[in-house]
Amino acid sequence: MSQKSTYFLGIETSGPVGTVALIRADGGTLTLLGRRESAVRNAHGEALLPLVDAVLQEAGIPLRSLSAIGVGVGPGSFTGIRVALGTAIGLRLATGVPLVAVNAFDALEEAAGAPSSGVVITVLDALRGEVFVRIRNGNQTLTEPSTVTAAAVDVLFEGCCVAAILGPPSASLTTQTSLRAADEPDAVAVARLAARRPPTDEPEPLYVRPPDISVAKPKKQN
Amino acid sequence: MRVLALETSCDETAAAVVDDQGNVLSDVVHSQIAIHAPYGGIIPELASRDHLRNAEYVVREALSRAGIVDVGSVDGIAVTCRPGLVGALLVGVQVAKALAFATDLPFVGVDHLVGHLLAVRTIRPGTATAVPAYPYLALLVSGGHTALYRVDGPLLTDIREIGATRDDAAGEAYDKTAKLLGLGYPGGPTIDRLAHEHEALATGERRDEEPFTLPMLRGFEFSFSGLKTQVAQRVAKQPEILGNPARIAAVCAAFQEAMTRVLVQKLFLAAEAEGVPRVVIGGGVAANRGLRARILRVAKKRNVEAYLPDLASCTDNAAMIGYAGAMRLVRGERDTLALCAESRTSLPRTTRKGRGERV
Repeated sequence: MSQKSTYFLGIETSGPVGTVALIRADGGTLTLLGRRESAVRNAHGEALLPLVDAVLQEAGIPLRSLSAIGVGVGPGSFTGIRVALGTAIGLRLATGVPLVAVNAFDALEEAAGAPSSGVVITVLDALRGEVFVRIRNGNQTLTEPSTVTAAAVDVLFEGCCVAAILGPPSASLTTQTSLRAADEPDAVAVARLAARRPPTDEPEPLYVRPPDISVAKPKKQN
Repeated sequence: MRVLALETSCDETAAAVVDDQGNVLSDVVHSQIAIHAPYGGIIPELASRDHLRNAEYVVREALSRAGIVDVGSVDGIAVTCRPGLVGALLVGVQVAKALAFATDLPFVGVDHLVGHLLAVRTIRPGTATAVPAYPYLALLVSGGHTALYRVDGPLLTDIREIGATRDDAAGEAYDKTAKLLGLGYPGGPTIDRLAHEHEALATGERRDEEPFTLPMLRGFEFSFSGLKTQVAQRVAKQPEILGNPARIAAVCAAFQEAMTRVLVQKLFLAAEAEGVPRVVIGGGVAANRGLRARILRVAKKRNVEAYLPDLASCTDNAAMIGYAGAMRLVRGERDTLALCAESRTSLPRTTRKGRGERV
């Protein structure tokens, strides 16, 4: 064992449950050192840094000795995505620890052990009766992530030759090839991917949905 | 003590480094006006998205312009945590908390209104502006707030609201009036410029519009929605105004006259009632030339000291937040990493919005 251990933090607050995880990498072997979560809705901003503090303290790993911080960039709650990214940006500004942007589709696939080849359809609950969908064939993305109704996923892919459809139990997927994934991405998967990927210089939020803008109709001229 | 401050409460992403004497060592403001202008107002989700895009840049720039290589070498971190758009505030609050956590520096949240009320005490390089002593009577006028405060010191507990608007903020009335006149967004600077141009005309070429009725409430409260309605009614009755730039400018002058007259009158009445010999202004509308000129005029007549902040200290900026934060930090005040963004001010309010008796 000549290789030195390296440490990776994951933060993920795009869903209802906010999570923080710390892993150790020894060569290719990844070991989970700690994980904390907060399930209080609309309070990820308050909870996140105290969770980071707790996870690092518990493992006795100083923030500055991390090799990278993985950050969940969505899709998911707009505010939740900004909680994670804002925090990550502040941590990088102060310490220079690089960031690795991890989108929620990759995090779900990582957690579920999705096949690396074949067509994989990954579905995330998008609320309002819709799901976020990404379709890839091997490592080639066939569609940019988008929103469709949950029912449309079943109709579109019923009987198709797909390796896996990944979706949370809450999404109404009936397709036979479905792999059930967790309801939402988790910091453990985010940290694991951070350990295997190069840093992201400019981590971008993956909102998918455009902002809701209602513009008043122009008044009729008499 | 040097403080790094962030401000993202509305439509400016800002960072600054300030010392506890009020010296502004750097002040970086990224404005979102161009993003919101097509909608005629601020779209909260667009504001939040843009704050996230620019937060890192403004902090790096503020540090570098202040000659600071390592964030850890400042003495504290401050951030606007209220009032404002919660989603927008949250971006600054998260970045600031993460900076404080990673550097182990003392950290405080600042009420944006306190920042505006102390902005006149910040000193920018190259300007020799005098700084007011306490106590002072302050008129805070912006797109979101219009109120009079007695300021006895730099802390929240030293500040008392004397009266505020019952409805629209002054800046809001400017924006709505500009919209009615087809002048685009934001309206304040345009109305100010047109009013100024109108008043600069020689008496012979100048045709004034009929003045608007002053929106005068008893006591130290304001109401501006009626003033805007007067403009709307005038334009409805005389639609030819809209096709005539000279008349539009004249309406702007009449609007500005009514607006600034009320603001200034109440500011000096409040100072008199409180027995305070000096007045200050703050907030975006404090950059209005008509308002500034009138305050100086009346102050001279009444023998009251008037302090007008630099234009850069009127609009939203992080320097004022850094200074207000420094005032908390030097007194040993601290906030925790659980600090969250809030939409309302923490200053106690005396004026209720809407109709009805005061409570």
